[in-house]
Amino acid sequence: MRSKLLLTVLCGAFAAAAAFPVSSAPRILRVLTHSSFAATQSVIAAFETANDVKVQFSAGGDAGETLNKAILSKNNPLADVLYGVDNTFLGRALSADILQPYDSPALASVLPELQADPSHRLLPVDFGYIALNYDRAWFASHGLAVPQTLEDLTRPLYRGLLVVENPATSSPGLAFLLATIARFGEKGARTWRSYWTDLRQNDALVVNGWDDAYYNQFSAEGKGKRPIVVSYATSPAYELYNAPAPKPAVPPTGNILPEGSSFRQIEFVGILKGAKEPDLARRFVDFMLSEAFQSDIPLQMWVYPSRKGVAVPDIFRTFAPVPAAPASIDPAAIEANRDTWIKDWTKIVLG
Amino acid sequence: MTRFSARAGAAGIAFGAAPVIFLCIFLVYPMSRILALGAGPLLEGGAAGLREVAADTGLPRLLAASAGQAVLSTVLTLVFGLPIAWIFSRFRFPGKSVLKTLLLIPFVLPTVVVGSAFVELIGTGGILEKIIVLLSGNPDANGNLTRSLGAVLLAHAFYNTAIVVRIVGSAWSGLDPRLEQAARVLGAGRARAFSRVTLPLLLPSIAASCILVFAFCFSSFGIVLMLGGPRMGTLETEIYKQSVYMFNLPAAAFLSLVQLLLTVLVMFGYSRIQSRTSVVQNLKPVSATQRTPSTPGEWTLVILCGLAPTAGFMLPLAALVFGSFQSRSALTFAWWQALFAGAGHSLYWISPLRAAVNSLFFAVEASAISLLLGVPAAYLIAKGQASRQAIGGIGAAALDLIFLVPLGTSAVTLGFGFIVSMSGPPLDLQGSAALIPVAHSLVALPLVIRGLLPALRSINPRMRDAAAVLGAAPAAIRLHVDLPVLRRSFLAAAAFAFTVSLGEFGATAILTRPELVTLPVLIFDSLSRPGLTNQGQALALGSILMAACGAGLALIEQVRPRGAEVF
Repeated sequence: MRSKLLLTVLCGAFAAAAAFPVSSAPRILRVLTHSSFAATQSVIAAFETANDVKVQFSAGGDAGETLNKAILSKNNPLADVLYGVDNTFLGRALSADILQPYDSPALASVLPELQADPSHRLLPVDFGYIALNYDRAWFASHGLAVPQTLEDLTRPLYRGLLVVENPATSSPGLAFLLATIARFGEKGARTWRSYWTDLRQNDALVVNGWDDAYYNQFSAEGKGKRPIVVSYATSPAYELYNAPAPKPAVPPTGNILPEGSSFRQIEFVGILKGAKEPDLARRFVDFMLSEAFQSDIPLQMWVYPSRKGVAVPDIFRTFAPVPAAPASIDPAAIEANRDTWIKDWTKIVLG
Repeated sequence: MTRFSARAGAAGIAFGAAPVIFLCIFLVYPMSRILALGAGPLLEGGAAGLREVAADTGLPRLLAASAGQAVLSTVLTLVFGLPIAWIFSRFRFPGKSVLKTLLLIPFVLPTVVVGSAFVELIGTGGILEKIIVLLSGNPDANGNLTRSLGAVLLAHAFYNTAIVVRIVGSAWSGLDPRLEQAARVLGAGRARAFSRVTLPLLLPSIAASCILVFAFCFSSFGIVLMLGGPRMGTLETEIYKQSVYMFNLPAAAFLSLVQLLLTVLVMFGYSRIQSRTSVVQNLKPVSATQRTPSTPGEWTLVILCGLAPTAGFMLPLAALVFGSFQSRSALTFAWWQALFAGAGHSLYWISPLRAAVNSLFFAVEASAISLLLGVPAAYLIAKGQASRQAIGGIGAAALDLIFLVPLGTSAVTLGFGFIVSMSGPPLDLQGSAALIPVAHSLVALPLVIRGLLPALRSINPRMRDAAAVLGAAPAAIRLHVDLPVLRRSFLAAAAFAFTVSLGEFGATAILTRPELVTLPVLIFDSLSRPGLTNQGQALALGSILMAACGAGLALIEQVRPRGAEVF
């Protein structure tokens, strides 16, 4: 008898869970982001008050994983707004046809070179650069000149100093691979393939994730042995900003930004098809492109705002300059070749 | 009389059906939805297409790597686990219950935390390297053991030794020592008595733990990615790459199916062995099987086989706590301060205390659900296997296999399956708080059932018959005959379900809402953000998770009924 009762209670609980989805406040705007999304609470709260809405953020993993979740839930979207698709995944997002166009009036104030989607389904929110960071103290104490170009890294002088991420499991790794493809191309005496063969022979270390590369292998963080790492152009500024008092005058690390060799990563926002709150979603997209949100971006996510004329903190201007000529590849070409490039890279470097 | 048994039969079917329905809704349905998405394009290619996918993903290499590391991991886990199980089940000594709780803690830790702990211990700049540098005087000495198969095997053994210790230990502690003594009296040597008497009786529980360890390691993913280095690939890491980075659903579906089929095949083989090796015996209470070590030789054995390996297992845990107080090789309290000061204005911040409460709450719910479903399921399986009718045997074998399926299921694929199937009609469970403990119990069920089965099978039917002859009703037989025998396994199963739930990350991360965040999700969140503070906070949170697990397990040991001593 008792067992039957338990069964009934159990079934009832499941039925209740199935029948009543989240008990809802008046209006909720659901925003799906990648796990690295960050913003100041008061900035979001201002949007909530102004629009009488509760913004419910959910994190979907890294950029690729988040996008895949959005694609898989296409028929019944997990959210109204999707933030965090970058230009390496732009093609996949557009061809999956999960977003609705929104020609936001705020786009007029957004840097035109970032607007990679003419159909206005993905609107640029921020951008950053994948760059080589080096450990200042290491190079000083070893009396070695800091390498200036990608080619330098294959010289015997710099043997065993570099750590890179696996492009099959890491987005900075993929961005760095794309930078070398943009720099060396497929033809000529030195192709991106032969470049990586040389890097491998020069004992470049490959690890699966940025965390491992930066915190475990890079010498500037106190644990690792390798003084050059593939990271972000804002990493040195971040190190200085977070350095314990007394703060040094310069960051413990520096950027190597050779011309045409820093891949620009642009992050986009879009409104999902079938959004339950399309009006609010449009207002939220406008808000993400507004002065208020854009000026919050640098110190929260350590990338540059996409809006023209938004002041960035001094620490960005001094220690995280925008590279003069970034590496760039057309998103369509990335979408068409990404898998082949990764496969070939795996054969060359890990095979 | 007939009416009564018909009613009992109907109740039995309803009772047995509940866990099956549960599994169908939360495992079979989402898996089939996501596999169907990939299978469409896969089938269009026909046999040639399949061969192409197999060649493209390097299937033979993946299979060899997955199976090879899983077998080696299982062997290593047995090497560590069996001596500990022996010491724990045959001897009484001070501090034993604390040691047992400590041994179960690795089981609760999310892979990201175990990965970090091993890196702190045997990675570049880790504790081992510091010791080597200190001893050799060479500041450039290399003490890195990560990015190797060995590191993966060690981490797997670290994770799974608790399974061997708990499952084999609970069988061993109930084993009548007089059986072995009789063999000795009859002239058998120590080794012969062990290999001819004790080992055969332990075989079912050893096999049960082996199969669980093998299944866990076979589909292991985070550990391989973090400690195996970029050249090591298993089925599950390839599924991850294919589905997350390449979004190649057909290839991912193909690999998930291969993994599932192989696991089921291995399980099936194991069930055959299991039903052949099971022996009915009269289990003894701990008071009759355990003694205090009496000679210096026995004390040495206890220390060598029990205490020393346990202490070894504590090293990564200690490294984790140590790491949470380290910044660039200097002592710091900054990470702990930051944790409780709250990144204040950050959006996803939730107090670690709140996350710990959430975690414990879900763990209690998940333990309850998985025991409620697992006990009847285990009963049905044991009963079917014992029955002489073919239909009972086949039914039991089928049930047995079904409940092992969660172990062979690709976690990455199931996660995407939840997204496809739970976010729209007929099941809209997106953001539902009830789904989290449900998902946890899905993972815990195979463990609960596996833990209960050997004990259930060993119950002597004559004891039940005797009770029935003496007039006991079926319920009374369960209470007075079955329950005392089952208590130990029941508690072991509860502890497993509890720890599995505490440490579960994959499903929770998909199902959670900000206010429902658990400790593992919070840890993962910290690790995925840059900055030494976040890395340090993750280690501090890992330490809190360990403490929560220890506290919860201590509580389970406290609430146990009088006389139900777990080995």
